Amino acid sequence: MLSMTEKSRGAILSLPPQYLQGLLAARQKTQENLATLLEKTVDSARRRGCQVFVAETAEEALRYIVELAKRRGVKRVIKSKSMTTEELDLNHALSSAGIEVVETDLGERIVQLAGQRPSHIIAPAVHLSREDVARLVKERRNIAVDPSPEAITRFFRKDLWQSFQEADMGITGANIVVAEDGHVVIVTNEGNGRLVTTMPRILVSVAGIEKIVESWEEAFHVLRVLPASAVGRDATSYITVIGPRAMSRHGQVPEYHLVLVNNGRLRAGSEVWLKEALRCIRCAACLDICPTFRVLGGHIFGDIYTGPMGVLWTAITRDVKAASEIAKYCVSCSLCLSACPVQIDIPLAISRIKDASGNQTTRERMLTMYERYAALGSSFPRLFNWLQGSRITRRLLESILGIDRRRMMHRFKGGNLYKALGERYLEAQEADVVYFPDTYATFMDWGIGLLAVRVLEANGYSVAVPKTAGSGMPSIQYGFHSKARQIAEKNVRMLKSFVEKGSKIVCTEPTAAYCLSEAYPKILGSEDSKKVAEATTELVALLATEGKPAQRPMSHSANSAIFYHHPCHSRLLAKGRPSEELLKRLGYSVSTIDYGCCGIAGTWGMRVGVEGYLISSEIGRRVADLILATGAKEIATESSVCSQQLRQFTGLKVRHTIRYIAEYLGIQDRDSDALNF
Amino acid sequence: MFMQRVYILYIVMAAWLKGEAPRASATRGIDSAAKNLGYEFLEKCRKNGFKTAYVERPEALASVFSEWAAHWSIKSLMIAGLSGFLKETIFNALISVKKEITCLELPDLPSDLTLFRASSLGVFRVYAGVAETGGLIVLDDWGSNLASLIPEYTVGLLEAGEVVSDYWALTSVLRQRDIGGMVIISGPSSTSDIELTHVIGVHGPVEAGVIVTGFELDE
Repeated sequence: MLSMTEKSRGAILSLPPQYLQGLLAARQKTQENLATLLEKTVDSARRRGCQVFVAETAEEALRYIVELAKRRGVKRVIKSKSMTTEELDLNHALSSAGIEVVETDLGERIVQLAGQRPSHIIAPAVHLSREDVARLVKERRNIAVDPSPEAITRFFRKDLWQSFQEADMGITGANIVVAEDGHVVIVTNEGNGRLVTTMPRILVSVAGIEKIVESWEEAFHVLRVLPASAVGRDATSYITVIGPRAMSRHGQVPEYHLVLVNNGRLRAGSEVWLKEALRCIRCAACLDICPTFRVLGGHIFGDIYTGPMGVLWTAITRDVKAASEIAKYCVSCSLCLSACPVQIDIPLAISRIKDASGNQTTRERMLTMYERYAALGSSFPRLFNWLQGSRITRRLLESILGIDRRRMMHRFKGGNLYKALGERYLEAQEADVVYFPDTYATFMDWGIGLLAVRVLEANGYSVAVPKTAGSGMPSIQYGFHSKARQIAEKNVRMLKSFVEKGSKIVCTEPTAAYCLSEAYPKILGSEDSKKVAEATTELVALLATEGKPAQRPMSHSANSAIFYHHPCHSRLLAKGRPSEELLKRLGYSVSTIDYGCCGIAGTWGMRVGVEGYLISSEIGRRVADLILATGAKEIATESSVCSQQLRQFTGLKVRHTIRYIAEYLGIQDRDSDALNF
Repeated sequence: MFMQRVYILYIVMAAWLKGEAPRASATRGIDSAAKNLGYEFLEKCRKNGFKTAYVERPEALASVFSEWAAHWSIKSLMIAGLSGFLKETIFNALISVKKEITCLELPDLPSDLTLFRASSLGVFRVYAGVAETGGLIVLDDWGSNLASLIPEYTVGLLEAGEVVSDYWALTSVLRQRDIGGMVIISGPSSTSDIELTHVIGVHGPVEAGVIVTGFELDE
C-alpha cells in the first residue's frame, strides 16, 4: 500500500491545479445542494425515458430491486463492483428470493467465493494471498489453478464468461451521476462493468445520491482526479457512460432502472460535522496512507466501508455508535486529510464521532490530562524520572493509566520554560514573533524552547512567550470536544492581541502548529481563531523561508549522515519539507523516505493493547528497518513524540531540527543541552 | 477458400451498391496541428499499453494489420462501423496471415458470442480520441461497443482530425447528441486485485491496438 500511495501522490502532483480546484468546487456544490441536485437528476433522467426510483432507506431499495427481478423472471444477476449495494446487503436479499447473484469484479468474486466481505473499497481481496485464492478455487470450484496472479486471472476470465452470456439482469454501482441528463458513469479496469451493462436484458444502476454532480464539466473533473488518486494513473481502462438507451448486445434498448439511494445521506448534509463526507469520491487514498489501516486491514478497521472514510460512512449509513466501534483505530495523524483530493477533514470528523458516541474510556479521559502530568513532573523531576524508570511503578502506570510498560518515556529536566526565560518574554505585549511552546517544550525539556528563542533572536526577531495552555491535541484525539473547545478558546484569547498587532506565531511542535492553524478554526469557527490560524507557522518553516542566519562556519566537526523524519502534522502546514531543505542549505547531509506515520500518534502509541502500543510498535519496527537501511547515524525531526518512537526502535540519537540550526549559528547553551532530543 | 471468395465478392458488391468505391489513395491531407495531436495521442496510448500505429496512406493499413495479426492467434473477426474498403482491406490482410477466419459484422449477432471471444479480433470505428489521457471514445451507434469488448484482441481506428485535447472538448458532443451510452477506452483490461500485482487481460480484451490515419476513413 505504500507503493500505491507513492504512485497516487505522484499522479495527483502531476495534475494541473485547476483540475483539483474544479473537483473540490464540484463536490462542495454537491455537499451543499444535495436535495436540489437529486430533484434535477430524477427529472432529467425521467425526461430521457429512464425509470428512476428514489429509495429513502436501504429496505426500500432492496424491495424495489427484488420485486423487479421477480416480476421479470430473473434467475441470475451479474454485478459489477458497488459499495452501495454492499451497504444495502443486496446480494443477501436477492439470494433469499432465490435469485443467483454472481459478482464479476475479480476481487469481489474472490471474496464472494470465500464468504467474506471486501477488506478494501478498491482492492476487495487484498487481504488474501495468491495461495489463498488458488486454494479457494480448488475448494469452491474443484479446479486446480496455478497460484500465480496471471493463471488465476485467466481462470476467472473463462469461469465467468457463461454467467455474462446467460444472466438476465445486470447490476452496477455508480461513480458519478450527472444531474443535467441523468447519465451514470462507472470507472473500471477489468471490462466486467462493460459486460454487465451490455449483456443482460435488464440493467439496474444503484447509486448513492452523493455521487451526483451537476454537469458534464464537473463530471470530467471527477474523471481526471479519481484514477490519479486511486491508482496513480491518468485514466482507468474503461469509463462507461450508461443512459436510458444503454448499449446492448441485443441491438435493442434493454430495460434500464436507476435506483438512487438516500439511506442517511440527506441527513448527513444537514450535520455540520459530517457533511464534508458527501464529497468523497471513493478513491481510497485515505485507506492507503492510514498507518493503522495498513497494519490491521479492512476487516478490523472497517464495517461495510473501511478505513478512515469508513468511519464517516458508517456514521452516515448506520449510526454513530457503530462508527465509534471502528473510530478507535484512528490515531488523528491527519495523513488521510493530507491525501484526500477533496480535503475532507476526516480526523476531525472522526473526533466528533468519538465525542458524539460518548464511548470514551476513563483512561482516555486521563490521557487528556497529559499537561498536568507534565507540569507535576517538571516540579518533581527526580521523582518522576525514577518512577518512569522503575519496573514496579511502570506496571502500576500500565494497570491504572494504561501506559504500556514497554514504552520509552521522555525524562524531565525540572523547572519550566517560563521560569527559565524570565518575565521579559512572559510579559511582552508585542513582538515580531510569538513563540507557542506546547507541553513538551514548556515542562519536559524547556531547553528546546530556550534554543528556539535564541535562534529567533539571532535571526533578528523580537520574541514574546506569553503563558498559553498546551495545544489540547489529546482532547481532540480522544473526542472530548468541550474540553478541546475550552483549551482552544483560552489559547486564541491569549494570542489574538499579538496577531492583531501583526505578530507571527511559531511552534517547535508540529502538532501545536496543526491545532492552531487547522483544528482551532474548525472547532471554534470564530474570526479570531481564523486570524490566529493564518498567522501560525512552524518555526523551522519560518526560518526556511525568511531566516537570515549569520554567516558563520559550522561549529560541529562531524558531518554525520542525518535522516530527516517528516512529522504527520507538518504535512498539512507547508508544501514540501522545508526542514529538510533548510538543513541541506546549511550544509548538512540529509536523506529521507516518505513512509508516512512513525506510528506513535501522540499518547495513542503509549497505550497498552492493540489500539495502542501493539500497533504502534509494529509500525515503529517497520519504519526503523527503513531508516536503518539508509545508513543514517542520527535522526532530525520536530515532533517530541515521534522522537520517542524513533529513538526506541532505531536506537539512534534523535535531535530536534532547531538544534542543528543553533549549532550552525554557534549558539551554545548548557541549559539547552539535549535531555531527550 | 470458396466461402472467402464469396465473402469478398459480397463486400465489393455491397460497396458498389452503396456507391462506395474502393479507395486507392488519400483524398485529403490532414493538417500538421491535427497530426501532432494525433502523435501525442498515440504516445499516450502506448504508455497505457496499446499497440499503436500512425498510417499516412490507405495502402499502408494492410501491412499494419498483417504485422499485428502475425503475433496473434486469430480465428474470427468482429467488425463494426467500418466502410466497405476498410473491411476488405482488413479481411485481406488477415487471410494473408491466417488461413481461415469467421467473420461477423455488427450489429448482426449470434446468440452465443463464445466463437468471438478467444482467438478473435475486433475492429471498430472510434468516434474520437482524447490526447491528454490516451482514451478512445466509442459511442453506441455502430456496435463498436461489442467489437471493442468481446474479442481477445481489438483494434480501434480513427482519423488524426478526430483527436481532441481533453475530456472537456467532448462536452458539446454529449449535449448535442442524444447518446445512449459511451465508453472511453484507455487500455487493455487489467486488474491488481491479487496481491496488488498488475495483470493484463481480465474480462475485456487482452491486447488492444489503435491506429490513427492521415486519411479519411469513412469515404
